[in-house]
Amino acid sequence: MLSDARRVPPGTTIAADLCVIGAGAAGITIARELAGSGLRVLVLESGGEELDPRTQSLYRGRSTGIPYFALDGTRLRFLGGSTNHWGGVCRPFDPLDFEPRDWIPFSGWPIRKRDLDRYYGPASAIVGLSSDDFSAESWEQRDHFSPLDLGPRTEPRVAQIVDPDSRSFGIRYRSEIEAAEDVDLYLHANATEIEADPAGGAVARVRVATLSGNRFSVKARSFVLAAGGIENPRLLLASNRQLPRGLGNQNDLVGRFFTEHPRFVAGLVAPSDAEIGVGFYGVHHVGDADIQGYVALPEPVQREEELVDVQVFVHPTYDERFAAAFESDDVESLRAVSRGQGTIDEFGTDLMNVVADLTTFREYTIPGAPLPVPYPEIVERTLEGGDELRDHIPDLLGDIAADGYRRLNGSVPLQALELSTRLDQAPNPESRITLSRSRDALGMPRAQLEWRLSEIDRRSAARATEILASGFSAAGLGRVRIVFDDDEAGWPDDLAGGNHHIGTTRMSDDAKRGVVDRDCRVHGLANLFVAGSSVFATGGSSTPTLTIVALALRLADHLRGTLR
Amino acid sequence: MTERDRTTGARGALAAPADRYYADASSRMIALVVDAVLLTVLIFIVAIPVSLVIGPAVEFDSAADQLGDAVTVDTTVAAVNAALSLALSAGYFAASWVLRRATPGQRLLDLSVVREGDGARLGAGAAIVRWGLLGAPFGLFAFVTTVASGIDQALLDVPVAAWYLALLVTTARDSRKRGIHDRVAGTVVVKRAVPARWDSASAPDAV
Repeated sequence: MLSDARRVPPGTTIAADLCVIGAGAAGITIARELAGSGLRVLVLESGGEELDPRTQSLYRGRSTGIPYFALDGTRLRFLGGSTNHWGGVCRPFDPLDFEPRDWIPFSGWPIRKRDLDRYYGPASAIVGLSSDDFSAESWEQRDHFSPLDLGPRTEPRVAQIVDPDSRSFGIRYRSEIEAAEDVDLYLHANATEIEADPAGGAVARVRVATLSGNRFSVKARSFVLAAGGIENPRLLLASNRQLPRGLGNQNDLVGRFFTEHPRFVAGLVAPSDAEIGVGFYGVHHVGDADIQGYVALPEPVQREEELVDVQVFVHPTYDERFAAAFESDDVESLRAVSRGQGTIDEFGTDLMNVVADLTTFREYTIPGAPLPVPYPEIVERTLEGGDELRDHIPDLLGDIAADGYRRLNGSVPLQALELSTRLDQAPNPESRITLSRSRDALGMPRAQLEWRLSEIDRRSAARATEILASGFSAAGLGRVRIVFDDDEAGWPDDLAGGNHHIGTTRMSDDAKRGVVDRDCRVHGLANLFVAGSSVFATGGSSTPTLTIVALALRLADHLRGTLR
Repeated sequence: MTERDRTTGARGALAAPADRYYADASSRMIALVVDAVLLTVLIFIVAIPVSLVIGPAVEFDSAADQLGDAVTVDTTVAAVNAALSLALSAGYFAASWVLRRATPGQRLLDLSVVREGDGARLGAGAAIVRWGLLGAPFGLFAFVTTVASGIDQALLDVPVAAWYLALLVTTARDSRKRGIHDRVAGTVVVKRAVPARWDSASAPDAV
């Protein structure tokens, strides 16, 4: 069922078996898993069914560390949460991600990859992938593109990309939730405080407020906090009525270890062959799946060099004319028309764009001829040497032809290859979320982010780029100019995160090293659990969403067992 | 259909079923495509000496890096080409009809264009009028889009496509397969081989 929290009688206390705070990838997955289990599940979602600036502004907060995205722009606060704008990139974590690595302080999860293995398959289907195969070898066999041979000190990896139309959990699972009789999802319901019982050993209730001024509470046997890697610690820290340091914060760990997947351009390759095939490294179809290949360092190299996991994306850069063509409205319009997207008005505009682009060549044909025939000079150039004319494809044949040429050929002549790194940032206790003094419209203290990186992150990025440079050089594929130097004082200007908020309620069996235990239960509280990437002990070698969903499935299994 | 059409149509239809005597729209379209190809080749061949005499129509600038700057078309040369193309087109169609009753494409499919009523060869006036309605729009359209820059080519496609669609529909729906161009020019397109098998006396429009 879907309900509107603004219509709940003020002051009411609603009872349920389980209360889930947040209807994003994790919250929706848990609610769906427990639907029909005999348990009464109540989900609190801050937003409605679409983006609302007032609700979104509840995310607003300060950033004091490494420059970061605006906090109210890095998450979405309505049904489906940030799945409403995610990139759809999926790959499970590797076994090494879970292991303690003595060269990475605070590394190691209390669980292992094998504990999640059985959940990754169902999680793949839940996020909207058609396959749960992530083996690079297996995809390579079916792929018409191949990875570059960069030697044994590198390895190709493959991520699957969810189709953009299937990404939103809000759209994908709305009707299922609406039909579920034992799941009650309240929209516009903001959890403003998780209230512990007087002894402080369990959660008694959650206080709920709406922006319209309504207030009520939810009592449940168990509670799951699934509001995102910034909001989870914010709500725990702000819930300080019984425990002045906040819930689960007896060891000052809530909000610490804020981890991202920092990324920046670390190297530029001048390819030996301008037609080097790099189609494998772009998002491309293999069968009915969309995949993207990238380069990484194999486990033995990471151990030997004592590095964090570094993933390197190979981005071709083109002649300006081609680059402009690939990004042109005409190519976008063709995609929209072929997918049947947009309104009737947009369809008309898109169709005109496509027709106008397809007839670009007429400008270069002899006027008056009944069929389009190029001027003799153009034919002469074509016969003389294809290369020069090929550079003029966007001018002569239009943007769609240029984009089609790239697809057919796998590439167009390159200017360079950008090596863009993505790091599995090492856990750093000084990188953290705290509460600021300013308050939001509901009276809650706003979040403050201090994002910090560590020396090992810098060294890993630099060393991984050097290893790749050797690979390119040894294979005769090109010369690499390292644009990121580990001696530099600061980080590169293009340093950014991946909108991944990780580690702020990290998992550890030891209450002195983590906020939640291996079952995602907050240490010291019998019935409060956390879902989402805030429980990750380390950021991982891949994007987080698939692992968030796998962990949510595992948590749902645990709750099904304990609440029955 | 005019009163006169109906009268002559009735005569013809009585003597020889229209669908077996008058050329159908599809074979006429095929003939037109063949003519378009031949005419295009002819225009291309003529463009070579034009570019040698008055200069190249297209300039390449390999150093240009802005989209559209790398290839430029000389408007004057383009206009000369356009005028020549139109003249060649007019000559190709009109001369074929006046001198040999059929264009090369039409001969390939055994079609003839004759004067409606007496089945005689077309005079120069009727031939030019017929070309103006059938052959000229191709060239005029291309000419306008070349010379008048700033016009969205796609916008001009619509009226041209609509015109050819109108010619096709009026041809296909008429009992004697006379499209707008035939009616205005006073012509009819007949199958050349057919009259030999029919009694020529009973096919009044046949030659």
